[in-house]
Amino acid sequence: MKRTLQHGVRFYLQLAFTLLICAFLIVPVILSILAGLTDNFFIGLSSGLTLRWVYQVWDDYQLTIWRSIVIALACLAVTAIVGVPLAYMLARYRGGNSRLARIIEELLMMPVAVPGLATALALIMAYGQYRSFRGSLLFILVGHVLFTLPFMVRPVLAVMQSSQLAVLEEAAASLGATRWQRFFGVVIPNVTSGILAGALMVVTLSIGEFNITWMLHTPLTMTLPVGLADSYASLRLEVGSAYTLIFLLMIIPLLIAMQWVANTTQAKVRL
Amino acid sequence: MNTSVSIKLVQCAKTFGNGTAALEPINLTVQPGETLVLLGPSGCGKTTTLRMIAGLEFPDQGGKVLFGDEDVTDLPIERRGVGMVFQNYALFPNMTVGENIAYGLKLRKVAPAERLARIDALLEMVHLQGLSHRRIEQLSGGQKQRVALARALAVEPKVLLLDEPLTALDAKLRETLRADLNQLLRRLGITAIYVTHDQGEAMALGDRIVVMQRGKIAQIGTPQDIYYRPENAFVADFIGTMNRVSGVAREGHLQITAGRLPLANLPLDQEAEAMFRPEDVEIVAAGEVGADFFGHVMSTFFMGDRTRLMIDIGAALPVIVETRRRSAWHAGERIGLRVSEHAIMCFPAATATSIEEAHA
Repeated sequence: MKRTLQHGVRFYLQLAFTLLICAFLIVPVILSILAGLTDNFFIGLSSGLTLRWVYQVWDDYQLTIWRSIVIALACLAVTAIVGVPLAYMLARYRGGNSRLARIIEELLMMPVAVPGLATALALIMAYGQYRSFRGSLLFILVGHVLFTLPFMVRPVLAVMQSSQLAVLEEAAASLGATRWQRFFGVVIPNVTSGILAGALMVVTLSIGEFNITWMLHTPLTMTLPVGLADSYASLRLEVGSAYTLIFLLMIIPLLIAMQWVANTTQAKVRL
Repeated sequence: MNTSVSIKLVQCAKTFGNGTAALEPINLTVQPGETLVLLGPSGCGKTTTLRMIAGLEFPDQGGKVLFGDEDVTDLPIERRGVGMVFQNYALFPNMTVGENIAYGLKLRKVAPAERLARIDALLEMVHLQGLSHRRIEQLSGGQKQRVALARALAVEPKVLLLDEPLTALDAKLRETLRADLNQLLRRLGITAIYVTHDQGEAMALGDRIVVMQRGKIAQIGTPQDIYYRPENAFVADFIGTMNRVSGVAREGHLQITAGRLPLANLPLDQEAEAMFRPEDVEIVAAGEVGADFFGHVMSTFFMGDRTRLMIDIGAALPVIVETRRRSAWHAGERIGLRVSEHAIMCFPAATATSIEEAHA
C-alpha cells in the first residue's frame, strides 16, 4: 500500500516525459482548432472568437462532407461484401495452406504499398476514357475500395484462421449444414469481431484518404480531405482551420461509436 | 430410436499433401450398435481414421468407406448422417444451449413445436433439464460436452463419432461423464467410434478396442483380449502398467540377473523379454523357498486399496509390484518375488525398440 502511494523521483520524471510527448502531439491540434475560431489568427486571440469561418466552410464545402460520408459508407459496404467472402475463400481454400491464397493476400496489400498517385494514374489511364464513369463518385469509390480492401480482409482472415472456427464449421457440417449454410449461420456470426475491426479501419481510412482521391477527383467529386487542401491553398488560414474543426467534430463521434460497437460485440462473441 | 448401421473401411490409406503417410491401408469392420474405441499414442492415425469415417478426410485412391451397404466414400460429411463430438466441444458461441441442439433440426426443417419438444427430451437425456436458454459461456466444461452430445444425437445420426470427448475435462468430471456416456451408448444402441489416448477410457467404454501404432492397427480385440492377451510388445506395454525383464532362455525358464522366471517352450539360448503386470507379482519373504527372483525395495506408495512397490532387481528398469497385503515394507529391504507362468507374456528381444514409442 505504501509503495503505491509514495512515488519516487523516477515516477515523476516518467510522468513529465509522457505529458511532454502528449503535449507535443496535442498542441498542434489545439492550435488548429483555435485558429478556426479566432477572428484574425495573425493578430491572435485578442482579435476575438467567432464562428464565422465555420459557417463559411459549412456553406462552401458542405457537399464535400456529405460526399465523404457517402463514399466511406459505400466503401464499407463494398469491402464487406467482397472482403468477407474473399477472406473465407483464402482461409479455407485447399485446407487453408495454399500458396495461391498467400500470394493473393500479399497482392491485396499492393495498393497500400504503392504510392496513391501511382494507383490513381493507373486507374485514370485504364478507365479515364469512360467519361461518365470518370466524372462520377463511383470512380473515387473504386480507388478507395482498392486501398481499403486489405484492411477489411486481414482482420477477418485472422479470425477465420483460428482453429476453433474451423472446428465449429466441422461441427455444423456434421449436422448437415452445406457450405452456404455454414458461411451464413456459423462463420459470419462468429467473425463479427473481425468484421467490426475491419469496418473501423475502412471507414477511417476512406474518410481521411487524400492521395488517390486528389488525383481522381473532379470539381464535382471533391471529398472532404481534398476540399481541405483546396481551402488551405486558396483561402485564409482560418477557413482551412475551421474545416479541420468540422472534420474532427465529424470523425471523433464516428470513431467512438464504432469502437463502442466493436467492444460490446467482442464481449458477447468470444472465440 | 436408431436403426444402427455397420461401418466398413476397406483398404483405407491416407497420405497427406506433403507426402507423409498418416495411415497405411487398413481394413476395419464395426458391427451395428457396437462401440469401437480407437486407441493409441498421438500421431498413430486414430484421429485420421475417425475423420475418414466422418467424411472430413478422404481415403487415398482405392480406399472405400461403407455405412451398411451404402458406399459413402465420396460423400462429404454433411451428407453422411454422422453425429460428431469434439474434444473442445465446438459449440456455437453465438447460440444458446437450445439453439445449439436445434441447429441440425432447423436445417432439416423440423417444425418449431417439435423442435422444442426434442430439445427438452435431449436435455433430459444428458441431465441438463431447464438449461435451454443458457448461453454457452455460462456452462462448465462437463455441461458443454453434454450439450455437444445432445446436439450430435438430436439429428438421430446413423453413426456417433467421438473425438477425445473427455480429454479437456478435469479428472472428476471425466469419470462421471464417462459413466453417463457408457450408459447412454448402451441404451441407444448406436454404432459409435470413440477416439482416445486414455487406456482407462478405452477399456471402460469399448466393446472392442483397436490399438493403433504408426498408422497401422497393432491389435483389435475386446478390452479383456487387449489386456490379458496382447499380441505384441507394443500393445502389451501401451495398455496398463507392464514390467519388462530381459533374459536368456534356458531349460524350462528364462534366466534373468536376479533369478529365473518360469517359462517353458522357448528355443534354448534365445534372448527374450518377459512382461508381466504389477498385480500378478506375488511377494514372498526373502528366505522362503518358492521365490523366482529377488530384489531390494526402492520405494513404496500406499494407494489405499493397495500398495505399489518399486523393486530394484539389478536391471535398467525397476519391477513394479502392486499388492493388497497390509504389511509394511521399508526401503532397502530384500524380498523375493514370484510370478506364475500363465501371467507372463514373452516376446523376442528384437521388438523391444518399438516399445519406446509407447512411452513417448
